[in-house]
This record gives sequence, structure tokens and C-alpha cells, in this order.
Amino acid sequence: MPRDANQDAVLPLKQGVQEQIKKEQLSRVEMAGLMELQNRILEDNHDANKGGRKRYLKWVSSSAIAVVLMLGVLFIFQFSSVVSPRDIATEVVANHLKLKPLDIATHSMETVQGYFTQLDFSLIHHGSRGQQLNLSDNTLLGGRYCSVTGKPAAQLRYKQNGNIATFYQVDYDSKRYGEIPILEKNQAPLMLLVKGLEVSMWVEKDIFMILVSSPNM
Amino acid sequence: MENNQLNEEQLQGLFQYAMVFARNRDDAYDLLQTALERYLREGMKGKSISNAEAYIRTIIRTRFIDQYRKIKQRKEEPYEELASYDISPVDLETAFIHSQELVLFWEALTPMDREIFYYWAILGHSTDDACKLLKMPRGTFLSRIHRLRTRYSQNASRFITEDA
Repeated sequence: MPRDANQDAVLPLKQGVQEQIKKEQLSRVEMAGLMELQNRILEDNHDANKGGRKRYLKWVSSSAIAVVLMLGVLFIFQFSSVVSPRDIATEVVANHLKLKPLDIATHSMETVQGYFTQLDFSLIHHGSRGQQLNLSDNTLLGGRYCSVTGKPAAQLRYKQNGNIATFYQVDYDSKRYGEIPILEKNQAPLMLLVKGLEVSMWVEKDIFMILVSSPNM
Repeated sequence: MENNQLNEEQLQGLFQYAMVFARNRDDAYDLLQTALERYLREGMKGKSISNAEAYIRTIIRTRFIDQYRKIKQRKEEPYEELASYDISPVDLETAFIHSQELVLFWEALTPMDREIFYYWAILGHSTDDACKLLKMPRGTFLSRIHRLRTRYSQNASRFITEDA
């Protein structure tokens, strides 16, 4: 079969396929890059083998030190009982989101206060921050017992314009919670944002108050 | 135990293999580079690899299938009724093709079809063996090739099967 030098040629399929495949060629630059890659990796290997045993020992000893340090830190943590505000905030937000059923459903703060007899303290109405958010009997839904960092606490639920706010009140222990702003000293409440919710913390009449609310309330 | 470096000829062949799948240089280069690196590092871990090129081809193939399968480059082809095609006369060993149709034909193949052709034209297997090795159903492959030949030849006589 005669082959023209021009494009109008018929050729064996196999040959044509070979040509199509072999058309693609790595450039000199690309080739150099791959050769250099090979050299580099194999050199790393050589170095690794030489320093092998020494590196292994270094790794073992630095791991051992790391483990000892970690154990030391954990040991210290066991004995220090200060819980960070962020940890508290995380706990109450999780609780707020769970929306567990209320023990007592009422609009009356008096009724709620009468309910929480098991606590070492008596409940406060809304508190300063609560007032800022216009929480009142109208928006109160009720309350339930709960716990904050393992301590018994009161949980009050409010609903305002479709948003739920949860008010936690727990006995204040400075050794446990650290220094929380005190209302009576005109200190501004601690404010944190957790999962898009505002968490306000302050101490009022020696009760640790934590309010979880929606930022647009 | 260290695996040997590949020479330029081997790298060209592997790049061409990667191009069979990737169809653009950057993707092909990336497939090759990653596979090459894997091969060398496996060797460093003590894995002895007797056939470097085959090993690297497998890595390229697997990576391609994982990455590019999601990209549908063409519509799904309709289910082929194999019985309606006369498969046996497709004797690719003695087939001819017009150079202009070759380009169109080559582009129209699926990456997996082109792989069969790579095994046939470059690695020297028969198309039947290649289909077996690459787990491609022979009938599916041949009927697809037949359909493409028909589509791209202006008249059937363009694809001439040369008589002995």
C-alpha cells in the first residue's frame, strides 16, 4: 500500500496507534525533574540508612521524654480542680442544645423558686444580664435540675421571639471556677461564644450565673 | 534493599502510559511523579519489586481510576447488543486506518480502551490477552471499537482489512 508523505495516508492500525501513543514525550525539563526526584529520594534513603541506628535511639529517647512530660501534666491536672470558663461554656451549651424536658413548667418565677428546694442556695430572678435581655416571667417556660461541672445546679428556660435562652445557677466556688466577674463589684460579665451562642458568666449574690442565649436576642 | 532508578526510556514509556488515561500533560505528569515516588519509597521500606514498570503502571492506573472516574467525559454509551455485531471479523492486527480518522478515533476511545491499545501496540500483547489481563470483556471492547470505526470512517472501505 503506497504511503504518501502528506496527511492523506492510510496506515496499519497498529502502527497508527503506536504513533499516537509515542507522540507524547516528556520535555527535557520534565525528564530532568523526574531524574532529579529519583536521585533525591534515593539519597535520602542512603542518609537514613547511615544515621539509622542513631536516629532510632534519638526517637526513642525523645518519645520517652514526651510521655513523661504528658504524664506529669495529667498528674497536675488531676489535682488542680479549676475548670476553665471555656470548659464550663462548652458544657452548658451542649446542655442547652439538648433541650431536655423541664421538671416544672410555669411562667411564675415564684413557683420555680419554690421547686428548687434541693439546692444550697435560693434562685435569683433573671440576674443582671437577664434583665439586659428582657427575660421576665412572660418569657419563662420553667425549670429543671441539672449539673454544671458535676455540681447540682438549676436550669431555667426562657423563650423570647422564638429564641431559647437557658439560665444556669450554681453555687459559686472560686477555687473551682476561678475568678469570675462579680456583679456587686461592677465587674462586667465574662462573655464567650460557643457554637454561635453567647455565653455570659458572672457571680451575683455569691451565685454563679451562666446564661446561654442567641446573639440576636 | 533498594529499587533501581528508572532510565529515560522507561520514564517516557510510563509517561505515555499515563497520557493514555489523563489526556493532558499536567495530569499525566502528576500521575507519573506520584507513582514513581511511591515505587522508590516502597523499595526503601524493603519491598523488592521485580518489575518496576509494571508496578508503576499499576499505581498510575489505580490512581487514575480513583480520581477521574467521577468526571464523566461523555454520555453513557447505550447498552450494546453484542449479538447484533459480527465480532470476529474485527481483526485489528491487519486493520488499516486513515491517518485523519486515527486522531478522531483515538480521542473517542475511553481511557480503558486506550489502555488495551497500549498493551497491544506498545507492550506487544494480543488484544485478547490484553482484555483478559485488564479485565475488559472482549465482546464489549470489540463492539465498541467496531462502532467507532463505523462512526469515523466516511465510508466503510476506509478501514481496509488487507488480504494476505
